[in-house]
Amino acid sequence: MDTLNTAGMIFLSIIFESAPFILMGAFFSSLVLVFIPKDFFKKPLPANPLLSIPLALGLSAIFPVCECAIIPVIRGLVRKGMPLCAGAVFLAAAPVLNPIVLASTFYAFRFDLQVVALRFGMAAVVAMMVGFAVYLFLESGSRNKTDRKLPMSFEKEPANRFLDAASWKKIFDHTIDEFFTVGKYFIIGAGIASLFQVLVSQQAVFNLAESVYISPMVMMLMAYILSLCSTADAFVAASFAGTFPTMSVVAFLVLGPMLDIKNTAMLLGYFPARFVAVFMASVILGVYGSVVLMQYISG
Amino acid sequence: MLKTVILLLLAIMQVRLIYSGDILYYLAPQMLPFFYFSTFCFLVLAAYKALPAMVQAVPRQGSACDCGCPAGHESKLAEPVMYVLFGLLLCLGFFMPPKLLDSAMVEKKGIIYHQTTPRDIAQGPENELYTQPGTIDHEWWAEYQFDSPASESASITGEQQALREELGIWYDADYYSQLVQRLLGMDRIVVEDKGFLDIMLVLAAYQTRFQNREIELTGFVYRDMAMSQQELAVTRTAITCCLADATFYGILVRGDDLQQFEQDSWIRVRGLIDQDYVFDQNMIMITALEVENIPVPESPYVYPYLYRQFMPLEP
Repeated sequence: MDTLNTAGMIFLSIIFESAPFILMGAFFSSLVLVFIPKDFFKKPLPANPLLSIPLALGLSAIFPVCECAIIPVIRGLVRKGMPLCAGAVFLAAAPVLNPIVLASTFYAFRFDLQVVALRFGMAAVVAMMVGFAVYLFLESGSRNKTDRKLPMSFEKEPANRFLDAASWKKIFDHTIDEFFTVGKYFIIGAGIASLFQVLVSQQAVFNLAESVYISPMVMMLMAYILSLCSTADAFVAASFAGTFPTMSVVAFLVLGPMLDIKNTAMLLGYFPARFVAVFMASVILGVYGSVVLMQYISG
Repeated sequence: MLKTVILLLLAIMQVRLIYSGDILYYLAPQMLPFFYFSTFCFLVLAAYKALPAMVQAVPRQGSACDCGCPAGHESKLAEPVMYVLFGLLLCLGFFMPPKLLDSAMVEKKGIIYHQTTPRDIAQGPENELYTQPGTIDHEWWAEYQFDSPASESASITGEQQALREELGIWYDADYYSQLVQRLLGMDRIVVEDKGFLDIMLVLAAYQTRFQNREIELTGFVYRDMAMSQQELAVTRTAITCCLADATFYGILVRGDDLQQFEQDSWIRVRGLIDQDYVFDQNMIMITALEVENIPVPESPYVYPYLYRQFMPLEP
């Protein structure tokens, strides 16, 4: 009973912390839906979706959005015709590559700038790999692009004007519905994450981390289970810094924002299972592969 | 209609938490502006949905939203599931009594003891001592800028060096030199809830200088299997953003009759600073002179001072 009470506390704590950002995400995705014209992405983007990957990476470095906020926004953009692989790059890169996360990581690790550089360098590389994998498995050839063919009643309408009251009514209505949709998945994710927090002994998990090949896996698993916010995870990672090899801490810092229990629940609610499977597999393999490679290079 | 009610209830729940102050059981103070923001949003959105409904008295219909999705966003089953989940959230928010993270969580997450600087490193030049006995009023020196003499900041002492190496990630030369000077000037160190972690960090790093000095601090009792009857750890929970990132910091206390203090009960310890080699590490510890049970303090969680300089902001 006590355990459940504690789990409940952690659950509410995660919800309270994230609700403002989910609201902002719902609002921005509504803006995208209403104001971005349907052929917005068709004109400027190169014919080959692969070429949009570097562009998406650059853009995700500019926008300060976290993992809770970005999922509905990306779905809105994909439905407006953004290539799926560019969306995957956004999903992977934006929560790490943003000025606020840079600031907090820099702050927590300012005497180990190697970690800061590795976190952001590797996040960029892994995000590109994820984009490429999504292109390879889901977008190349003649595969159907289910996501982008969703009918949109807006397409028949004239472009929504910014000062039109009707546009803003749509935005508010959609924000509310989006909040409830994403909130539902978030509640499931936060619930599971809080149960893991009270039931899984981190001490026992850490004892598994003996070899340099296993300890990145352990740290990735911890990042997935703990479901921390990407601004706070640097501080938690700093407390692991003494116990774990540097590259394992980097693995924790790169994987956590891209993938954790709560955003898995949201991804599954918002994207087809096939996309989620490719996304998760490529993130996990990408992070693990590049960490082991870096360990090998640095001796 | 149900969504309007849920939004309104969410807003009421959050206002209630703010009003009672219980929100600090869930979030670190630096997250509060965001919490106010979400409360405000819930109120506005609830009002936005409620007002037209009251004026027209006709429920709007059609797809869940007017966004052009064929059948709203949801399958038939998803809608009730959504209400159940939000209902669960509201039930917990309204009816679950707040509870502090306790020793059960410490067992899961582990406890961090403040390690001391080995004696051979800790031989920096003797600094001038201030002679100001009294308790620490953390507030004033947190806000007050010291004019530290240039000579002091130029030479980093052995302990500062150690502080930097051992606890590198937290290190801030000016801040810690000032704090050390303050603490060295006190005959009796009373560690308040504010600045708890930073003070303990300094005491541990400069342990040789503080050897046998009197200290008073509060925390909850944590014991593990390895501890004897004369030992306990006086423990505090540190929160960065939310409870998910909680970390536990403990200070070993030794003394007679400590077994009478129960796990998770809050105590005030008065004792002398010492160090010992336990659990494979040199750690700061306290030889108890007097231990007493106290009620749970106003702010049971601690927040590192440095975190407050850096205000975590998201979008």
